[in-house]
Amino acid sequence: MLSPAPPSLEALRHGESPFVLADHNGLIIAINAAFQQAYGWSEEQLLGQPLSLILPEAFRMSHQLGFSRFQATESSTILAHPLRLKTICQDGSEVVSEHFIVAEKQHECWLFGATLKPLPQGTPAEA
Amino acid sequence: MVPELNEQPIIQELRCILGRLETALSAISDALVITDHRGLVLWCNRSFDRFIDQPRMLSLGRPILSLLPLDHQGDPLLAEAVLATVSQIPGSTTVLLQRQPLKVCEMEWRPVDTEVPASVIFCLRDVSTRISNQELQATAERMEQQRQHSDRLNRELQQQQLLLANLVRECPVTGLPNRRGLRERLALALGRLQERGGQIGVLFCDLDHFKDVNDMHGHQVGDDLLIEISRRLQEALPPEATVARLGGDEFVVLTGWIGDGSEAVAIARMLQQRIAAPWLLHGQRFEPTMSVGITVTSDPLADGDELLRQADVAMYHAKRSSAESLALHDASIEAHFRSSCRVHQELRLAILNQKLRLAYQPIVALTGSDLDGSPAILGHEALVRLQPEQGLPIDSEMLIVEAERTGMVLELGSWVISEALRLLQHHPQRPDHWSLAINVSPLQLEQSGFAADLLERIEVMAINPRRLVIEITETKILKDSSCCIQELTSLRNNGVRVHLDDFGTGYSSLSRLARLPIDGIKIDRYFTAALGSDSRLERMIASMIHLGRDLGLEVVAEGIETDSQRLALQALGCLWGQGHLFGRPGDLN
Repeated sequence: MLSPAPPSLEALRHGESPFVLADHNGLIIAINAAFQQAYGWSEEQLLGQPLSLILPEAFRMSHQLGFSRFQATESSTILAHPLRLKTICQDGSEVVSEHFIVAEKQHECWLFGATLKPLPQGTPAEA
Repeated sequence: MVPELNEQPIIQELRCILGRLETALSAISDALVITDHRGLVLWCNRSFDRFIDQPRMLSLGRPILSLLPLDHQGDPLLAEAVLATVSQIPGSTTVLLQRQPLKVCEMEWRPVDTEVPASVIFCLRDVSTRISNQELQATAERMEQQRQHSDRLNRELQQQQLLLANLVRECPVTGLPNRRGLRERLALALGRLQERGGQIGVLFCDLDHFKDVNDMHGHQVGDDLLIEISRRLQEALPPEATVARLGGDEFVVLTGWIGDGSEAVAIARMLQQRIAAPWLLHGQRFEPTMSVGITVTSDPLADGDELLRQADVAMYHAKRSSAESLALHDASIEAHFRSSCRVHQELRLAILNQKLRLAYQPIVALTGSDLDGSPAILGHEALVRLQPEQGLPIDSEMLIVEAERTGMVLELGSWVISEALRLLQHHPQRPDHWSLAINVSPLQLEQSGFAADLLERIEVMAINPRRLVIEITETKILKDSSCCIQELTSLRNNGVRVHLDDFGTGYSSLSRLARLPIDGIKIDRYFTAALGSDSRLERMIASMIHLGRDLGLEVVAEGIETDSQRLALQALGCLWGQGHLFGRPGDLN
């Protein structure tokens, strides 16, 4: 039996969960209202900024290298399944959240969309 | 005019290069980790994921030390002190992770000079194969060499100790010849017998209760006493005699030429008297006594060690059996010793192989009878019997004596109690007045919680405690009074009856008798045998019966073998009896 197809980027974008969209360079090009509400960031603060801004410092290097590897190989181990990670809020605090990332190629360029659902306080970052 | 810079292609190219590098680093077999100044993981490759068996997402941001396995002793791969220096000083280490199967890890670290302050790259690789083939073998060889060297040193040391010990001929405490010195003197003395004939005596002297002196007054006083004893022995003997100390409280006197055994006995008595003179030390008064075993020989070819053994055997006989603590070795003592050894051996085997059995002798009412005219059986005494697989049966009295002497009476007694309780549990249909008597040694009573343990077993097995009678000998209960009396009182308070066995042979005072926690007395067979032949003993037995009855005690006469004895005891008012007249020890049914 085939596993169900992952939700499309559009489906995530129009869902109710906090959502962030990044371009092929890893720059944020859109966030939804739920994201702003959950993490305190405004569009002015994030649009055009690298995705690593909302990741804990210890994850940034790995994120950039992983992002680059995807550019080179177009394969990844973190796409299309839930990941429990920390997200940095606008006030600098960290919130454990469930990230679900999808990638889609549009007009020869990759786009990356992710929902970041905050988990209850006290949830450990590693599952 | 400078054209507008389009960074996109460069960024894209750099990203691709970075991606290829990351992919390449992930492909190599060495596990790589980059950490920040706090030791938190910033990046790791796939080999590291495999090395710690954990996905990368769970490693990022965690302290590297918490991710690495522990070594084979359960210690971290890097000591805290080393970890503190890794961002400044490169280094490496090889660590044994586990022995079976062998797993050895080599870890290398280098500071990384980047914009992230004090970051470090670690490289870990499994070197088990390399180690097992080379270094382990070398280590094993090195250890084997060390072991052989150590063994050789130990052997040399032992030989040196042996050589030194062989040179020592004197006791360090008393200055007397030791066993080795005595052997030499004995050989010389035997040699002289060849030339001049006659006899020599070997006196094996053992101080009585010397351990008590050491225990109560300390080893210094004990040593002072040994020195005093050696002085007294030497002063009492002529110069041609030898006094030696074998060790502990054992001295040996090798007499000069003597006429016969009686002369050796006279010397022994004289030495006992000299030793017994009071000795004052630090305000304490000591009156030492010693047991002496003697052997004499006129045979110049006699074996010195055998002479010492004979004297030793005689000494043990003297200690146990002789009123004057003195014995001259002869065939009967040797036979008794050998018999004692055999009993010891047989008893040990019987306990080990569960070859013991109980024989039951009836205790009857001397007045009245059953419907068939036979005396009414009031109970039985359980007696231990040992029939060796080969040879004659073991004498019961000797069996008990040996069991007590060797301490095996504890195991033996425990077995008797178990058997007796089992029998009581399975014979509830016996008449109400019927009871089973077992002999208990004071050594058993001295065991902590003896009464409590027995009572608990009685309760668990739902046995009527009044059916059990504990027999204890008069001599022993008086000797070890306080502890025994406490245990016996506890048993009596809970329904178990207590009889004083072999009554009349233990020199107990009447005032003591009145205070003993007992329900009855068993008059020793010695008195029963005197009925009709010794009027004084008859009067004593009458007094014992009356005394017992006046104190409200059950009185059992032992050793009744004839009808006239039964009638005499009946006439004296004795109500209970036991002896061959009513049945020899045998099966219960």
